[in-house]
Amino acid sequence: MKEYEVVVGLECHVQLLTQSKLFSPAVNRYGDEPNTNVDAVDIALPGVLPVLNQKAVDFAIRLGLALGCEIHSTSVFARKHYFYPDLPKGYQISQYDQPICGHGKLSFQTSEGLKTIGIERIHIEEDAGKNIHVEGGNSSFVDYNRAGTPLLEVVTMPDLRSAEEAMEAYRALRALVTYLEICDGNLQEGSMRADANVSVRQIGAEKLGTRTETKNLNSIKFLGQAIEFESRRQVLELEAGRAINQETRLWDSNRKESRPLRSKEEAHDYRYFPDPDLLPLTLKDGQVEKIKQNLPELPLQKLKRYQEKLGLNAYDAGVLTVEKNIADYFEAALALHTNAKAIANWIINEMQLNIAISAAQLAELVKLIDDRVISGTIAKTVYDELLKNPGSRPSDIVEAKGLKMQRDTGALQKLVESVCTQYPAEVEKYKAGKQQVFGFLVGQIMKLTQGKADPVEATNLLKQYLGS
Amino acid sequence: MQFSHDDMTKLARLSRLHLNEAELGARQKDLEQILGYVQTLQAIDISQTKPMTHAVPMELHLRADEPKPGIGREGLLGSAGYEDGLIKVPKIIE
Repeated sequence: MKEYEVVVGLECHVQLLTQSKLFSPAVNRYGDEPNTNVDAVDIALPGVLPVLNQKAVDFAIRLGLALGCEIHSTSVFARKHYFYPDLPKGYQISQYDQPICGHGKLSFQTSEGLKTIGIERIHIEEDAGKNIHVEGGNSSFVDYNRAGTPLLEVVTMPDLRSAEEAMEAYRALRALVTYLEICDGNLQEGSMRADANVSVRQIGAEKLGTRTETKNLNSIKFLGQAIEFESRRQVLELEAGRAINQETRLWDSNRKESRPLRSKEEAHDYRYFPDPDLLPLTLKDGQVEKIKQNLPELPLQKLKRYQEKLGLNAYDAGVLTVEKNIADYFEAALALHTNAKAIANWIINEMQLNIAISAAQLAELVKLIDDRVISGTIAKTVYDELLKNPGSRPSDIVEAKGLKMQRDTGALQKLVESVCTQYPAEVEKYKAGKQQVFGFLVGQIMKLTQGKADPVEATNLLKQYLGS
Repeated sequence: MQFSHDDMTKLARLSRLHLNEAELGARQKDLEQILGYVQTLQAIDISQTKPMTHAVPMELHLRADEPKPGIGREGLLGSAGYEDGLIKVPKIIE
């Protein structure tokens, strides 16, 4: 079989965190009772006119700047026509040949280092309602709460070369929009959805293969699976001497396969034209500059700072910066106690990124270890107590449970002697050169003190005793 | 500008209009007249004019991001068939 290369471009839909909808003042909120957040504009009652939400425009500029896009001072809304019950107007208001943002780029970490892909455009558009399909019967059902929700569509260049890369790019975009606070990044609730344009070509070939578009991938895992499936399918088709049809495919996450959705050519005829109800969008002088000045620190900038200024390794810095809430939590703890490595280690390894105690509690806990008030082992006990008693302070738990590290040399010396007397055979083995027994003896001292013996001090004393 | 019979059936299909042969013929004449008028406009020299999407030199009016109660569920459902608070439509075949 010949060697093939996968070529992927993504179209990512990002639901914006505005209070109201894109063209109507109806509430923009997920999860409410069906058909309660609707305005006359959302369901296209006769005679209504759309009025654009200023915030959605600001959010589009925010993302455009973060992706280094050209920001167009004039952009135009267009009607994209198709008939579907979730679209009462019979057209979606979108942007077509004059989107708000042009070329930019997205950088992200991969297993082979930093990769940068091109962004073709970002445009503003409205979402449709939600169709609910039921088994049997002659009806489907529609909830219009989502109709008119503001979306940004981010279109990448076909610069991705594997499912893995596409997943990393999507993760990076998700991190970016949550850092920018323009989207909650909640994939389960459909706050971000991706379509994947996939084609394959023989390695070394210049020309791109015929692409297909797999729609509505609502998780990072499905995005990866769909690209894997589609690229394998295309290679098999080509190897069998068949041509690839340019088509839209729908991913079935249960069967882990996609199937063609629309095959009729005219279904693609959206008859775009400028929306006569909306004048061209012209940005105000200084609007872009003002938004630029208020951009937060972005994931890659944070990642770099964590490595260069805080001395974290690339892995830890990467893990802490993927989710904005984790990075915020890390920084809140760091503001109270400056041991970045220890705090990072606790968040990643002990807490497994599950934020169950406050940043102040974590900072205090790490400080207790650093001040040698408790050992690392005891800290885990304190942590478990904090989970049981959410409001309590680590130092109070240490006090109440008598968990302070035992550092009294006299008392530790007695423990060393009693353990060595209790295990004469092990002591002999150690003296005969069996180093591993040392750990066993330290373990016994720890056991006698319920883990509270100062491990450094106990080790020193034991060494002295055995060496004498 | 001439329309073929195929053009007309395609347009009818895109517009979800069920037209019989007589109606197709009548609409064909209408469309040819409309495009004939556009052809008259094409005689104007616009080589020095920047492309525009609207004829009036006005700016788009924007709205602050402030939610207001909409027409509510009753307002919406009153104009459609529904079940359990959801709009009921003919089955969407997939």
